[in-house]
Amino acid sequence: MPRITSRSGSFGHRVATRAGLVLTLALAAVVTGCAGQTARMDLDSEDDALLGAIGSKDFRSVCFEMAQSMVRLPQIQNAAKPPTIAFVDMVNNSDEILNADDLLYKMRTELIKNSGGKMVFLDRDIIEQIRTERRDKQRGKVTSSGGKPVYGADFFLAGRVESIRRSRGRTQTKYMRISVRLTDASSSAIVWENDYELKKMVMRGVYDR
Amino acid sequence: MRSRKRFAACLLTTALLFAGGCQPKRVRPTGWSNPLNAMEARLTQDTNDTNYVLERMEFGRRAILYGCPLRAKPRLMEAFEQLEAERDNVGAALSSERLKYYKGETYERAMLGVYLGMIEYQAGRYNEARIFLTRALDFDRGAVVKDTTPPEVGEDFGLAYYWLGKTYARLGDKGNAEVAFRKATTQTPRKEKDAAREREADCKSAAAGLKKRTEGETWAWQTFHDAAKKPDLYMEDTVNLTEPPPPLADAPAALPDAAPKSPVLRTTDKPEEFFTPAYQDDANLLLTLELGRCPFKYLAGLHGERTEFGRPSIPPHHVRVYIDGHYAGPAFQTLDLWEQAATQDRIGEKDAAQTTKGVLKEILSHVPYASMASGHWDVTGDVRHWTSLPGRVCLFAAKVTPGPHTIRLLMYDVNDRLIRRWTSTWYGVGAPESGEACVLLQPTFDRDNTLPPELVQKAVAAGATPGVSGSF
Repeated sequence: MPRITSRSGSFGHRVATRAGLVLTLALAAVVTGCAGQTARMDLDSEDDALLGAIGSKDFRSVCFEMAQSMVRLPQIQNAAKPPTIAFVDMVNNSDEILNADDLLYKMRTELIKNSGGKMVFLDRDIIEQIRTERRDKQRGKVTSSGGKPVYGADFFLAGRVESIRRSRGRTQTKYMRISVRLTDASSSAIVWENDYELKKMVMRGVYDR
Repeated sequence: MRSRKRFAACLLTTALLFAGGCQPKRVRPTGWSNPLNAMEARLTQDTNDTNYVLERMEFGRRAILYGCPLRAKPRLMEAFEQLEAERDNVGAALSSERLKYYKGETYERAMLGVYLGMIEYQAGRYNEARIFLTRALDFDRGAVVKDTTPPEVGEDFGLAYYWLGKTYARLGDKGNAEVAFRKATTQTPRKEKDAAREREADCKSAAAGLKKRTEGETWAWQTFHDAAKKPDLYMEDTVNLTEPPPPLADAPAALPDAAPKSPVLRTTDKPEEFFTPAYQDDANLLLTLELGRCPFKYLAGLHGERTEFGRPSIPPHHVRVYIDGHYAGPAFQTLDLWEQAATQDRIGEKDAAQTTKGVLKEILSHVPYASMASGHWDVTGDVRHWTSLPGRVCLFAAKVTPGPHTIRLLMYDVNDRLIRRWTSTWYGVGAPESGEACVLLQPTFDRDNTLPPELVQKAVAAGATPGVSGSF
């Protein structure tokens, strides 16, 4: 009888060990491979896996550089009162699928953050809502704290994205130019323009096709 | 006791795996009547799957053919996005090439860009169309690897240039539109010897096909249209096709069932007029005709380590378009995928790697003990390709009276003989008052010769094979 107990105890121990092993393996699989992973990355890290595409680093560099250049303009620094600026359009003439206006939005954010109130941006995206609100205020439908005129633009901000892509066999080069300009709204004179150029070369793998 | 514990352990493991995201993909069994639903449900969601791009290419193409371009677009976009992603393909380098992440041949990538461009063009998003079509041309430029290859090989994707010309015209860029239309007529530079050999083979094949076809038609006429001798097999509406087919020179200006008045207001049979912004701007009906099958691939070499392209047989060489029974002009060939495949430079490094693997496998197979391992070493090439692509694409555009029309295509072989069973008809194709209708058509063998089930039974009983599309 004690022998049997001893055997059954030994078997139970073995099963428990095996079950523990299986569980550990399963947990390891879940933790390492199956569950996928999300990691926070540096905003300026290169998107190596995406060949030739404009990455967050380029995007941010363009906007920082443009904003820095623009904020130093004498027309803005020496203005008696902060000039008003409206967006026109960022034309995408490149062969890259991108929302070019996003570059202007990022630039605006940087300028508002860093210009110390030396320029005023006009929100023309919601001009219809502004007009409706003004009408409602004039008609007394909603409360009003005194009327202000809708600002006109002193300057227009616009830009272009252009690219040249060339392929030969496994090699591909891509040149991209992003230019932004500030135009005087009354004289149509371009008072400032800056551009950002980048060129990338990609060598595809032997088994790419 | 033992089995119960094991069962519990297995259950727990499975539960943990499920919790970790390893459960099988849930497929909702709804809407199976639409074949696209079934196809879409089977698409892999893993972007690292080596067939991820190919599956989406096939799905997108099917969706376009079913008339659902908006359903094709997101999947084709997913495939397009992966073309830029870097893949190491270590497995393919060490073993079979089939293990590589398939991104398509240069012409397949170009076709992906063209389809996306066409979808965007038809949706009125011309700048997006421009981007995709430009990228299509760039993919085609990847076909040039060697310094000795003429640069025209990378500038001959006529279909992309044609749509790019139309897109530039819509964007108001006339200069670029003219350049693109001019380039749409670029002929793929072939070696004189290769082109002559293929033409000779086509001529022989067409003549043999005509002979075989005439024998078949004679048999069919005698079998199914002899009420006196074979009353059981008699088919009332059998058409007599035993006479030699008429040559292209005798092509009619109007078909017997033509409408009293021609609806064609402006047409041309000159490519130099067809490929101009002015003509294209005037046209309100654009037909894209996709003919035959794309080039296929097969394995060659001692151990199947090399991949070669096969030339598909596509009998029609000239297409005449009739609208409401009146001749409206020829369809201009703008793309031949075989020529794209045949002129695409091979990647020397890949061929060398594959050959080395083949030679190494052969050597190992003669070495004692190592031969056992070499038997399991797969060094075969990759024969995957975008199977649903057409072989040739022809274009027709004209200005016609607004309203529904009957489109009939008459096809002629390389010897300028009518291939009667390739005649294809579409009814109720609408032309708008303003703007243009862009219609994608796929003429096929025996398209107009559909038999009802009872006649199919009769034909099979007599030894015929209805529904089997012949290459002649």
